[in-house]
Amino acid sequence: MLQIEGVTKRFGSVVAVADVSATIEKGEFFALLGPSGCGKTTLLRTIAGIYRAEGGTIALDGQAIGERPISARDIALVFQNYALFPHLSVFENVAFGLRMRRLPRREIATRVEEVLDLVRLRDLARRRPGELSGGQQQRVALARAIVVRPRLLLLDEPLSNLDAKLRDEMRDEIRALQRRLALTTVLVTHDLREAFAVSDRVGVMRDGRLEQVGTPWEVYDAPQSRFVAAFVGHANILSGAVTAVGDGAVTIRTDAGLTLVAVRGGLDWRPGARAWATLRPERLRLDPGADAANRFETTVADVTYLGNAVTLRLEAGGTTLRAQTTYVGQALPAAGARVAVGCGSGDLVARPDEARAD
Amino acid sequence: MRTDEQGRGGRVALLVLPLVAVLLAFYLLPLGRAIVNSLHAFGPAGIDSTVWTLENYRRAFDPHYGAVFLRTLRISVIITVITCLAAYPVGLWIVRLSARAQALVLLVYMAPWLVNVVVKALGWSLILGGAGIINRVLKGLGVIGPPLQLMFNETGIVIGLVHGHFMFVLLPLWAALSALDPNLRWAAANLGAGPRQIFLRVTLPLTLPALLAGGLINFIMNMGAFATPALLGGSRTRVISYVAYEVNLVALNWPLGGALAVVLFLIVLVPIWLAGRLGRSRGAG
Ligand SMILES: Nc1ncnc2c1ncn2[C@@H]1O[C@H](COP(=O)(O)OP(=O)(O)O)[C@@H](O)[C@H]1O
Ligand SMILES: [Mg+2]
Repeated sequence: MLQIEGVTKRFGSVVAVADVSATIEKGEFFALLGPSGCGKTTLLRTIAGIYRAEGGTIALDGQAIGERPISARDIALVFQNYALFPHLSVFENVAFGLRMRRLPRREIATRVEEVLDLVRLRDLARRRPGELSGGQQQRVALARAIVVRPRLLLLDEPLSNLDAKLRDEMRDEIRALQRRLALTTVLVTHDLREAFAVSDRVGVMRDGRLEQVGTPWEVYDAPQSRFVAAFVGHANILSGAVTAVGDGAVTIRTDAGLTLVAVRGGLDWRPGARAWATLRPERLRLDPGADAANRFETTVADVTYLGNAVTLRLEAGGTTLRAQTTYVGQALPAAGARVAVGCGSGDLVARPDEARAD
Repeated sequence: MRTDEQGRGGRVALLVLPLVAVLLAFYLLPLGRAIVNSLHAFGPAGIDSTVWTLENYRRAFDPHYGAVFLRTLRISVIITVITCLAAYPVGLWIVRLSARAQALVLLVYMAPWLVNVVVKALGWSLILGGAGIINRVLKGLGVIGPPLQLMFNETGIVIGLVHGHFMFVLLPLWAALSALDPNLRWAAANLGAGPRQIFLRVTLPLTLPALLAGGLINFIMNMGAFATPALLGGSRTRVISYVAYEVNLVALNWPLGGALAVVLFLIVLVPIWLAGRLGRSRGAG
């Protein structure tokens, strides 16, 4: 179990990691998600001990490790550029950590071969990293990290240098391996799909802060800030003001004049206060019943046919809405047609504007 | 198009011509001449070009000249080894500095090359001489009785040339150390390596080719050094370049002088050839 409490790291005047706290359970796969430059790598390297935290504590399985040197933390880090030793063979790269731990020669050979089998690289054991493809290098880096049986595995964008097809394959392999070895793992990525596909929980970072932590569906269905909503792929994010707060529902009038009805959800709604709401394209239905909580009359601006799905660009009195629907052979509206779209109040994600801390 | 190509080739040849001429006139021709001379006999009347002989090469290896070759070789190797050992800590220190500080420090290490050899030797005699700074300080502290002999012997040559030829090792080593991906060191540390292991297993093997290249240049420069050994070695500690100079220009024995030069040339070729082989086998393996 990894416990981070109030960790901060600055580079000169840049605060790369600002007061981050999180707990990652034993055997959990945790994804750290955020745009480039938000401090993911810095946080990972601070946990590994490459950088020293300027405040806060880091504890692994109950022991504080913040003061330990990098070589004594029992954490394995897979670097974004893999950082394989170019002068050593695949075998020697993987054996490196075991040699440092002064294991007997025989045991080193057995364990390295075992792990090379696991990542399907046994035949390439004598090659140098320079003679391998990107995907193979990635697997060597992974093998080199897991062979030492670390208490914590840290992966820094391990898939970002691979092409799309290989990326999906490796992603599933990493997940399967992590489950099999029950490794506590933190994966850093800026790729939403990657984070959602493999992780038990996701932490969304922004400007050095951990903005929201939760399961993938929690983060997607209930983003707690406009930033998180945008980052996890919500489209149709609208701004407005609260006009009415009822028993179970709240009404928001957007700046462009649409009226939205959302569930209250135990939030602190005040009439007149600023708020934002998102109408997720996949939740917008064409021709909703007359009783739909949200219903908009729109003009079709543009239809994009994607084979199994169709996306529509709709104009609703000055607001452009995107809608998406699976295509199963139904009749599609043409550009210029008038259509009604809508959704239930529960399909909407709405929150009062968060006061920015800065 | 074809004529155009030829015209261009002709222009390039024209541009390179002066360089070729200079190399021919000042380098290859004298070398060829020295080789030819070294195979002729030398008599009271001077060089006898009617007689072809290997006598000069036999003399080049006789106890007298053989000892000078051995001394030169020994001094050169000692200087190269000391320089290589000293260059690592200096290089590791430099790459940790800011870019601006690195440039400044490198300039300081290159300074000896920009100062005239005679001026440098004079400076050294102020430091190393019997009444120099070192001896006066040590004597003042009561560490030594009679002054240490730091000049006019091999020690003087070694000190002078370690200083004078330091940058030939430092510069390539610095370049290799700066090019080293810092992630590699962190990766090693992350796998449990301490500072010593990181140096021995990562930094050293990855910068060794640069060190060998620098060491090779340093060794060749040491073998051929003339003024510094002449000024700091004194009359009893002669190196081969100085002896060859005396044979050629004082005794005017060009055949023997040529033989000494050719042998020196061949000795220097050996490590170059070895390095080439090493480079190729590394590339292949
Ligand atoms: N070694 C460093 N020196 C100075 N600034 C750095 C260094 N590493 C990262 N930063 C800065 O810290 C911030 C976070 O960087 P990083 O952790 O690499 O982000 P991410 O991995 O999320 O892309 C950025 O503003 C970056 O410029
Ligand atoms: Mg990064």
